[in-house]
Parts: sequence; C-alpha cells; structure tokens
Amino acid sequence: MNEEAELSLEEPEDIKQEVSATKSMKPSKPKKYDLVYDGKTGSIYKIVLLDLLLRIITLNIYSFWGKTRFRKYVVSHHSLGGDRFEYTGTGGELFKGFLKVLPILVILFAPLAFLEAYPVLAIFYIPLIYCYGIAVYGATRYRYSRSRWRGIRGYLDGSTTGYANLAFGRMLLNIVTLGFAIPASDIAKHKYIMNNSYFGNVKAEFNGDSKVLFGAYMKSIFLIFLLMILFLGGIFLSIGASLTMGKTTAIIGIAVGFIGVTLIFPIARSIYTAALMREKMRGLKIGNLKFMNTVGAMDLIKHKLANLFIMLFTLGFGIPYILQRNIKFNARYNIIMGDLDAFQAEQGKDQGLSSGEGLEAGFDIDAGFF
Amino acid sequence: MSVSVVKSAKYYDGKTSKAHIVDVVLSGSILHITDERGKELAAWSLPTLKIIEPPSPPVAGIIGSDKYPDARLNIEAGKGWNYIKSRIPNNKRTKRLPTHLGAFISYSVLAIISLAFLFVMFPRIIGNLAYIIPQTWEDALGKQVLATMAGNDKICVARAGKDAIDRLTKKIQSQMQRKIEYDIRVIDNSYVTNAFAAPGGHIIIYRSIIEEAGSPEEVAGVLAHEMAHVEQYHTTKALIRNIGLGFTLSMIFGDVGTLESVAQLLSQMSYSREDESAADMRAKEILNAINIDPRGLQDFLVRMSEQEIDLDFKGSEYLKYLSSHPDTKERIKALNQDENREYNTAMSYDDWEALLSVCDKTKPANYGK
Repeated sequence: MNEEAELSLEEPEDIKQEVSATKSMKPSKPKKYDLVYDGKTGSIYKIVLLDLLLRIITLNIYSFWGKTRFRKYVVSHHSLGGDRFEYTGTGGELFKGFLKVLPILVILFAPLAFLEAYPVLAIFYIPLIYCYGIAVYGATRYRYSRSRWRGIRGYLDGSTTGYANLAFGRMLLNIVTLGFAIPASDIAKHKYIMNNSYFGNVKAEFNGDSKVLFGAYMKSIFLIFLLMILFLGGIFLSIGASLTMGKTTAIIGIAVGFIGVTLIFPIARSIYTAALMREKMRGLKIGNLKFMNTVGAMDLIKHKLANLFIMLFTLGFGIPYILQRNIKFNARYNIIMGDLDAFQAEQGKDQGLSSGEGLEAGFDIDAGFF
Repeated sequence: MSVSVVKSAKYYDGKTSKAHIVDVVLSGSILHITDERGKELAAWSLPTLKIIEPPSPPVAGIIGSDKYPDARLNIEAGKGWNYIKSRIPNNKRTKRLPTHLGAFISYSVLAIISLAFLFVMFPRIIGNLAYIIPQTWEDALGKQVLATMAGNDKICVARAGKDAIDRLTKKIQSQMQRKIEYDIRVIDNSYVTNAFAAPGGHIIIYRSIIEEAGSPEEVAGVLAHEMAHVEQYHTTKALIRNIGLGFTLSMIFGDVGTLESVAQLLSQMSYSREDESAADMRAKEILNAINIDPRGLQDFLVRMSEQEIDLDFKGSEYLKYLSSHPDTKERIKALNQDENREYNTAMSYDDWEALLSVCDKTKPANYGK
C-alpha cells in the first residue's frame, strides 16, 4: 500500500513544472505586511541638532544637505518584507535645483515684500499659488526618482503643468463652493499623482471615492462650528465676568479661549484627515499589492494632542522626538496586502533628473511618503 | 582559495524586483553570487563593493557594487556581514559625522564669504538705486518718513523766524549740487533735541536745537550737515539698503527672523558712520564757501556729546554702547580749522532774534501735501 502511495506521489518532471508555473502566476492567499520603521530617536536628535547648528552658520545654505541627510535616515530605516527602502538623493542636487530657479523665486516673492504699503500687490499671490502646484509635483517627481526598493526606482509620469493647472483649478472650485468641494478636490489631486506613479515599470492605480470622505468632512465642519460657538461663548462670558473680577481673569479667559481655538481646528479636522488618509490607501493598487490604513480619528487626535503637550512642556526641545513620533505613527497604521514574493517589477524608465526641483526650496515642501 | 561568505542570502539584480536566493562565495578578489541551481548571477570584484546600508536586525544590510549600480545584495548581521565588511575598502562605508565635520569647515568658509558679500557688497550695490528713483517717489517717501517721525507735532511758523531760516537755507542751497526744493521745518517739541534729513529734501529741526544753540553758526552747521545728507542721498540709500537687505535675506532664506533684524541693525550703524563723516566734511566745505565759520558745527557736536545725544537719531537706547562716542570725538577733531580766518556771521542779529522766536506761532503739520 505504502509503496503504491509513494509511487503515485512522484509526478513526472513536465507536470511538476506546469504546476509550479501556475502556482507562481496565481498569487497565493493574500498576506499582510507591515511597514517597518526601525529608526531611533537618538539618531533623529543628532541629525536635527547638527542640521540646526550648520544652518545657522551657513545662513541656511546647509539646509539642502541637512534635509537630504534626514530623508536618507528616515527612508532607509523603513523596510517592507525584509527589504529596506533607499533614498539616493544628494544635497548637491537640491542646491543645484535651487540655484537654477533662484531668479524665478526672486521675481515670485519680490512684489509681496511691499504688500503693506501697496495692498494691490496681493494679486501677485496668484502666480505664487500656481507655482506651488509646480513645486509639489516637481518635488514628488524628484523624490520618486531617488527612491528605491529591491533595487527598483520610482518614476512619476504626467506633466508638472498638468498638475499645477489641476491644483489651481480645484483651489478656485473650493473657494467658489465655500469649501464643500474640498474632499473631492483632495481626491482629484491625489488621483492625478497616483495614476502617474510607477514602481519600476508597474503603474499604480488609484480609484478614490470622495463620497464617504464627504461625510467625514461634514462631521469635521460641524464639530468646528460647534466648538467655535462654545469657545467664543466661553470667551465672552469670561470677559464679562472679568469686568467684575479683574484683569487676570480676563487674561486667563482669553488665553484659554485662544488655546481652545488653536486646538479646535486640528482636533476637529482630524476626523476628515484620518478619513482622507484611509481613503488614499484604500483606493491604491500597485501590481498585486493593495493597501490599507487603519488609522481612526481618535488615534490622530490623541497623537496630535500628545505632540502639542510635548512641544509645550519641552519648550520646543522635544521637536526631534515629535518627528520620530510622527514617523512611527505613519508606519504603524499602514498595511500592505498581497503577495510580495510574487510581486514583480522591472526597472523602468530613467526619470532623467540631474537636480532637484528648485521651487520646492522656496516653498519648503517635503513631498515623501515617509 | 574560495571562502563561502554566506548561504541563502537575497540578491536583486536591479533589472527586476525579483528576489533571488543566492550563495555568496569569495574567490581571490571576486565575489561570486550564484543561485540555488548553481548558476552564477553576478561576479563583483572587491574594489567595486560598497556598503549601502548596515544591517539592523532583523533587517538585513545591503551591499552594492559601483559597476552595477542597481543591483543589491542583502546580507544579515551575523551571517557573513562582518566578513564582507572587512573586505570592503574603507572609504566606501557610509558617511559618518567626521565627513560632515569637513563639510562644516567648508560651509563656514562659504558662509563667511556670503556674509562679506551680503554686508559689504550687496548693500552698496542696491544703495545706488537711490540715484534713479524718480523725484516724486523720493518726495513721497520723505513725507511718509516725516509723518512717522513727527506727524503729531506742530511746526513753528512765525513769519520773521521762517524768513530768517529761509535766508540761511538759500545761502547754503546756492552751494548744493542737487537743485531741488530744500524744505526746512522747525518742530515744536521741546523734549527732543535733534534734527533729521528725510528723502526728497525734507529736513526737520527740533526747536531745542535753535533755542539751546550758543550761536547762529551752530544752527548753520546743523543745517548744512543735514542738507549735505540730502544732497548725497544718504537717507534714501540707507532706507533702500535696510529694506533691500532685510527683504533679500528673508526672501532667499525663508524667515530668518532675529538674524535678519540683527543684520539690519549692524549694517545700519556702519553706514551711518561713513555718511555722518561725509556730511560733516561736505558741510565744512559749503560753509567755508559761503564764508560761515564751520566751527559752529564743531561746537554743536561737543555740546551734543556732553549731553550724550546723537545727531540724526542714529543712536538708540540699546545700541548706545556700540555707538559713536569715540566716533563723535573723531568727527569733532575732523572739523578742526587750522587757519585763522575772518568769517561773516551766519545771519544778521535781527534774523537771529526772529529765529529764536519762530515757535511763537505754530500750526499742525500736514505731510499729506
């Protein structure tokens, strides 16, 4: 009996190969992978402090190298499926890019210096806002081209002006609709970028839906109004009371009100922000990989409040720690699903960039996933 | 002599993202990377190896080759990493702080050069914009400055006094290379003892200068000094330099904040010194040309330094210890006259009497006109 069983288990070579071939074509049961970050707070401190010192001495010129060093550390300490991400950008490239667009930056920002005397110059905000779109797309493209995983580079197709036009148009739409178009606009802009994104030769797909997002957005707005009414009401009451109770009460009342108002926006907005983060991941597909973000509004709110307290109680010295917290927060809630072993990409087109997007330096943009 | 470095490491050939499980063997100075079936996927020579990322368990470290920039070899700590690392040339390891110390030094040099450019060359260059500003703009700027400085004070307009100062002004004006309308106003504010030249020929003199003067030659000296400032565009240039430097700094480097205001203050000070000496010398020249004793200005400066006042509002409270008291001594010395010369009086006795009473009649300043 046993011998027979053993004989029947032995399959001829060609059938074996066929079976293994089908096996590698069909993704096996989807696995879940965590985005792993293993950076240390101490290292972040060293990088940030050295960066600050050198920036002061070099009148901020060092910022290009400092930024790069920070990015390199953060990116290379993220790994997926046991393989690290790489950042191959250099400070020199960023500096070159900046020098190239310096005259444009001067022209863009110059009129605004005289805004106080000549308010009509505010019209020059328009080219500035448009160029912000250009800077964002260019910065993203540069970061993609300098990022690798398993040796394969990222690539961003599409056109910078295409994105800038879209961003500008959506901004106008947001204004005209008094903000109600914001969820749809955020999705539209993200879609443009994602649908032009490549990992090697594998194109990403994004099918975001702004309907659910809109619900979260309305909840945010409602909460903001509610809290505003409560806090403004509280301020008026405290001012009224202080007229009988003296100056210190008034100051305390106003301080509490001010803090309250500055807290309201980030807290209330977190409902929308968390929903947006979730939707951005839900609609994303790269090859056989799907994504998920499990962050909840409360998680985000607690995280932001903790950051605020750390900032206040350490008088700013805790900023590198806050940076580390933010990175860890981001990594914690992102999950990748699919089969990383079966996932295949080939090296794609060369982005052909010899320098960074200069305009981003003028706007101080940091366009990366982590 | 072959050494097996590691078995079952991960290798990526840089052409696809497919992971190959490989054995790595070092033969002489070549690293052979072969897959599980024995097929050689790559052969890297030792001198071309570089560390892309050190391992931090459980994540493996990454080795690369200069010759194949896209390929990656993952080796874990404790599984051949140390062996490979010892074979890699020293300078191919990841940059540590010492390298950045070298960068630190070169950036400092760059910074010093930038500083030199910013504080010395750049302001001089843009200060020259003052020469091409249209008269009407300068005029408006001047009125704006005066409105800010003395907008709430009344001006002294007693007829006889005004005529007296106008006569003096015309005498000095005859020597001016810049033929514009020099507009002198006496300010009715006894708390301030100072004078100032705003762009466009608008000069203000506070009444204390006149009332506390020892002689009409002192007033003439101050007036000539201020008019020299106007003639040489000093205030306009200083304003452009200050706005220009501050603006350029904040525009290029984002908001530099306190650094910027310190820089502005510093540059403001050093230029003023040059300007003051220049105005003194020009005033001396003019006064000699119209036969008025320049030592009036000298006497005035002596009196001011005793009272610790800086003409042209140059010194401010917290800059006092940085500012010009040794500087004023220099200026006083520079105004020395060697010759014993006969001078005319700066104005007639009647004019001087009238000038002392110019504030008997005052009216509100109107810098809108």
